[in-house]
Amino acid sequence: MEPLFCSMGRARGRAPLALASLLFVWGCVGGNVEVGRPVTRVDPSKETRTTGVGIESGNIEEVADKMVRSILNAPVIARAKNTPTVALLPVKNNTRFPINKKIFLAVIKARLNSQARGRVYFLAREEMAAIQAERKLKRRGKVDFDPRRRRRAVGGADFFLTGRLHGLSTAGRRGVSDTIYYTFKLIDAESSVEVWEDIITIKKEGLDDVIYR
Amino acid sequence: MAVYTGSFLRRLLPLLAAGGLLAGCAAAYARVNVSEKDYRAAAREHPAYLGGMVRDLLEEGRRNEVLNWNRMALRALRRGDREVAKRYFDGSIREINRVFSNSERAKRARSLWFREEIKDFKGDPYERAMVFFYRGLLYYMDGELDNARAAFRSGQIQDAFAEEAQNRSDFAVFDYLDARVTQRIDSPEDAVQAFARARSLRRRLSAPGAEENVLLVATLNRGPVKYTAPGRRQVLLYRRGSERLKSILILKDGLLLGAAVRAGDLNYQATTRGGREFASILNGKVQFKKTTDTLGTGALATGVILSRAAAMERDSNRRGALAVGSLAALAVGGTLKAISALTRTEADTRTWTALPGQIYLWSGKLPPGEHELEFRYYWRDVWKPAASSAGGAWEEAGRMLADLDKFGRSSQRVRRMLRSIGASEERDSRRRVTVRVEPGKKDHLVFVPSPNAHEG
Repeated sequence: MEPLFCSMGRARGRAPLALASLLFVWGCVGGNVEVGRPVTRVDPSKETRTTGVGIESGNIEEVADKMVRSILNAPVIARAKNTPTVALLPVKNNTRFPINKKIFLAVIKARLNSQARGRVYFLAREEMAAIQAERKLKRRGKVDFDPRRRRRAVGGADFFLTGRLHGLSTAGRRGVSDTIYYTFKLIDAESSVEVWEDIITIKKEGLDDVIYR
Repeated sequence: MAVYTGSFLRRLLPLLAAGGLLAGCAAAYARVNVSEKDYRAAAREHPAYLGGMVRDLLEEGRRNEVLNWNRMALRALRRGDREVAKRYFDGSIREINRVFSNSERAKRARSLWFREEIKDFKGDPYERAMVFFYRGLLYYMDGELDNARAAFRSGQIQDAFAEEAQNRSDFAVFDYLDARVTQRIDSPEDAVQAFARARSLRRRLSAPGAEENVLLVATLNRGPVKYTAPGRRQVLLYRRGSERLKSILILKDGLLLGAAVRAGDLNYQATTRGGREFASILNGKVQFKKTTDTLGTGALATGVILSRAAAMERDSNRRGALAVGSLAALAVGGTLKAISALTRTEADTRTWTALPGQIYLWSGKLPPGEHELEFRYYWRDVWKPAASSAGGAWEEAGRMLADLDKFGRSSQRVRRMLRSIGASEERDSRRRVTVRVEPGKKDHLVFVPSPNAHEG
């Protein structure tokens, strides 16, 4: 008696090979191929695909927007007879997220400068070395300048603008939750009175895929 | 002949299908081929000491990106190249902080056909915590104390993901560092609770005095390694790293400054994390694998029986029907066996092998200027007696270390004390560390890497 499968013909014998090929193609094609994505411009105020529970560009934009509107409505700014001058003090971080502290105040300052239209002046304290060097050159007659613009001393600050970030974080098997309180205030540089303050709270929660738990 | 054919096909079918899919799936974990030209171009952008790690980064791709960044960053830190270390730790932190919710790779890792290690590596909680630990040290050394504290808090929260409630957030070194920064930049009162927590976990970690301006952070020995046992590949196990060295004494100008205090043990952290939620998915895969294998065996056996019956059947119609039935059973059996063979149940054993076993701290006060300190390493824990030791010598040593000003710091007394407790020094590991104390600077942190760590 001839072997059973020889009598069924070659076509059926190829079925396992076809099955193997199908599984090969279906299961693993593209397993280690990194699909790229072309560079595109995105809205910094929107959340991106690389979202985490930390402080991101969208949060900074949101905080800056609110603070700028609030500062411009503060009585000491809105009703000031002379344009107040403001110096920046570093933002303090009391959260679990390391931050680029200069970014917050840089964004707020830039927004204020563009929206305040002369209602607030900022002091460029970070450029003091260059300013002092220039003043020295002028007074020694090494460079020319308009004498009407001469000042006895570099401008002093009427107010300090500073901020503090506080964080409340919890984590466990149900996920991670972070609440960050962004507080900013204006401090009278003569009297130390806090003449304005505002707060914005942003809470985020997330749960990592089970493969990471 | 039919019997031979039946048993031959019974073996062939699953092998063919499994071989095809295995060959394809192997590509998912394989290293990408990078040309020598591309490698050299990439290597030029990295320091030479990173060596083969650059090739690993290129060839292993996104799947192992965080692991390779961690390795590169730690090697850079050990060589004092802080800028490179910061760059790679920041990259890792960005990925660790991302919430990987239902990503493509996560789906694959949960699927039947892929091993868990298809997922993008983030690390176990203790590994993630150490990324934040090292980044925090770098912020500290740059004087960014609040960002350092933020990093330590993030490290602490990684530990909170451990399942066993009683072992959550028990990484004392983070409590201590958080408290120390708070003491420096906020107020000592705010730091009291965190110091108390650190001390409750490690009783020798006491709050530093406000005048103490130097913190030495030293690591020792080798960290844990993940593995699985044969026959139970879905269960992730941890092998403790070797722990040959147990004490660090710090001397200056031949006088003993003190003994570093153990503040963290990664082997303990790894082995007390409890079970993983993902373990239940792996167990489910194991069950599926066993079931399909059993059913496949049954179907193949049925196919063989039907094939034999068909071979012996004289009636051509019935023989045809039996043959068809046999084919069907063999095909189903083969498919089920292939599915079983291809179901991947192995746990992910990728490990950041360069991590140390233990973290030690020493806090003290040094005047402004440059100081050369000497680190000496010992095989015996100077703080704790061996089980067979009598109490006297250890009590004397303990009193001496607790109050060096009273008992004296001379090398001779130190040598006598160490001889009395049988502490042998690892002489070849002695290190000289330069500490530059600047007037007005709140705190000075110096990192001293382990003399016997895995190079990674």
